[in-house]
Order: sequence, then C-alpha cells, then structure tokens
Amino acid sequence: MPARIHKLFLAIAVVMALMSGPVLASQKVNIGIKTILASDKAEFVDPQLKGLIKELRTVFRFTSYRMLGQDNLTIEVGKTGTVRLPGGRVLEVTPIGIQGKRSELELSILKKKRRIFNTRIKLLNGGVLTVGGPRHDNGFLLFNITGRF
Amino acid sequence: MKTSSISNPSCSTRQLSRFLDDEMSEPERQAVENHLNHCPDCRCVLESYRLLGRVARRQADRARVSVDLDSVEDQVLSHINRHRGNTSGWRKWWPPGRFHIPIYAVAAAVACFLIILPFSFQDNGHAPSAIINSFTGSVTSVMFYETPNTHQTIIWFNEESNPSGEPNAGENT
Repeated sequence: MPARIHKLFLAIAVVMALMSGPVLASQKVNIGIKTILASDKAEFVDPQLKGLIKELRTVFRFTSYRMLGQDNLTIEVGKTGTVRLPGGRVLEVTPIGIQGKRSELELSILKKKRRIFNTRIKLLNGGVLTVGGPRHDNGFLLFNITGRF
Repeated sequence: MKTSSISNPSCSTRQLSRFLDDEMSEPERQAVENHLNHCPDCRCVLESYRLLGRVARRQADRARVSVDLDSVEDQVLSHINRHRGNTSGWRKWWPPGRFHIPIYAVAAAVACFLIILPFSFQDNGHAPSAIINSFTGSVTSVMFYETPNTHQTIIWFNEESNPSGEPNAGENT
C-alpha cells in the first residue's frame, strides 16, 4: 500500500480520536425515577402521571395509578447511583456510556441485598423505560425511568 | 515482365492490374482482352498476378482463422491497463493535477462520515425508547412490551416464585 494511503488512515484515526474525545470525557446522565403503585382498588390517576398513564393504558388496564415517590439523580458515566424503593428494595443505576442518541445503562433491583433483577439497556436521550411487576400493597409497583444527557 | 515504360500502352502492368481488379470501362476492357489474345507476355504477367492474389487470399484466410481475437483483445486491454496503472489505486479515478485537497481535509471528511453514519440509520422515530441488551435475575418470568404510540419500552417481571405474581387480569397483553 502506498505511503500516502498509510498517512490518510493515520490522519482519519487522529481526527476521529479528536472528535470523539469530548463525548467520552466525563459525561453525566440525569436519571429520573417515578415509583407508581398500580392497582384495581379504585378509579384514580395521579394528576402528576396523566401523560404517562395515557401511554401505559395502551398496555395495562389497571384502574388506579398513584405516584409513591420521585427521585432524580445525576450520575457520571461509570459510577452508580442508588434509589430506595418500597418494600426494602433498592434500585441501582450505572451509566456505562453514551453512544449517539442513547445512553447505555445498567439497572439492578436488589431486595434484602440480593440482586433480583439486572438488565443492560440503551435508552434514548429523553426516552422512558417502565419496569414493573413487584407486588406491593395489593397492587403492583411500576418504576418509570427516564434518562437525559 | 512488362512495365509501364513499354511503348505499347496495352502492355502496361498498371493496365493489367486495373483489368484484373475490374476497374476498366467496357471499351478499355475490350481493348486489353484483344491485346491479351495476341500478347503471351502480358498473359503470363496476368496469370502471375492472379496466382499471387490467390496465394495472398489463402494466407490471409489462414491467418484470420488462426488468430485468437479474444486473446488479442485481452493483451491490448492489459497493455492499456498497465499504462494506466502508473497512476495507481484510487488516484486513477482522480483527475490528474486539477485539484489539490490536503490529506487532513480528506481525513476529516471521512472521519465525519464514519462518525455520523452509524447514527443516520437508527432512532428514526419508530425505534423503541430502550433497547434491552441483556437481562438476568432471580425472577420467575419476564416480559417485554413496547407501547404502540410512543414506543416506550416496558419490562414486566415476577420476582416471586408464586404464579399469582402475574400482572392483574386486566392486563391487555
């Protein structure tokens, strides 16, 4: 291969490194977590959840959606943030990195120090993930997780 | 052999050649034919011309049959390519000496293209809000949903071994 082509590849590598450098450097992800109790106890939708519940109702048919808590975390890539959830559960959120429009997150739910749930996702910037299923107070817990960077 | 220097114009080799090639007018032709009836030298020259023509045609036919035209074409093209090859690789697609673009400008353009490319084919509004790369846990079952309107991703799991941990009967799916 001619020396000029070698130089071109080297130059591309240098430029790409320079361009991608600021993206990798100390990125932070803002995580929002809404804890919701969904049940059939009554006809109720928390006013703070109106927009969200409209979308969730395309999948679920609970009659009551009550917000139990809201947490916001700003977490650096590679570090872990924790949120206390009802029933002695703990949610751990670890941003792994940012790729384009998505942040890669590791989510874990622990109960009595036992990791019962662990997933790795790529979440759109401003996108929403809902994790649900744990039983609580005659209903089910939903954790509505948003990520922005 | 008679030549055009012969005083009699009918004994001209040039005339015989024209006669042989059928290039004469009818009166000229008649005159030459009359001459040939009385001139054995010219008949001999004419016959030798005819013989020479037959031999030449036969040789040409043989040569034409024996020539592999495809091979000749390949050789010509490879010769052309060898010459073109002096401007090697990608440069042969580039007009020689017309523009000079610094190598770092080319590198920057290619780098921009490579960085933007992966993102130009995804997240076009129909992509799910979350792409699940992996899932592990002490759960009895797990289900993944996507809402139809805004493509929100939902993970539903049962943390208990009790099957009654299923979502309520009112669940849609």
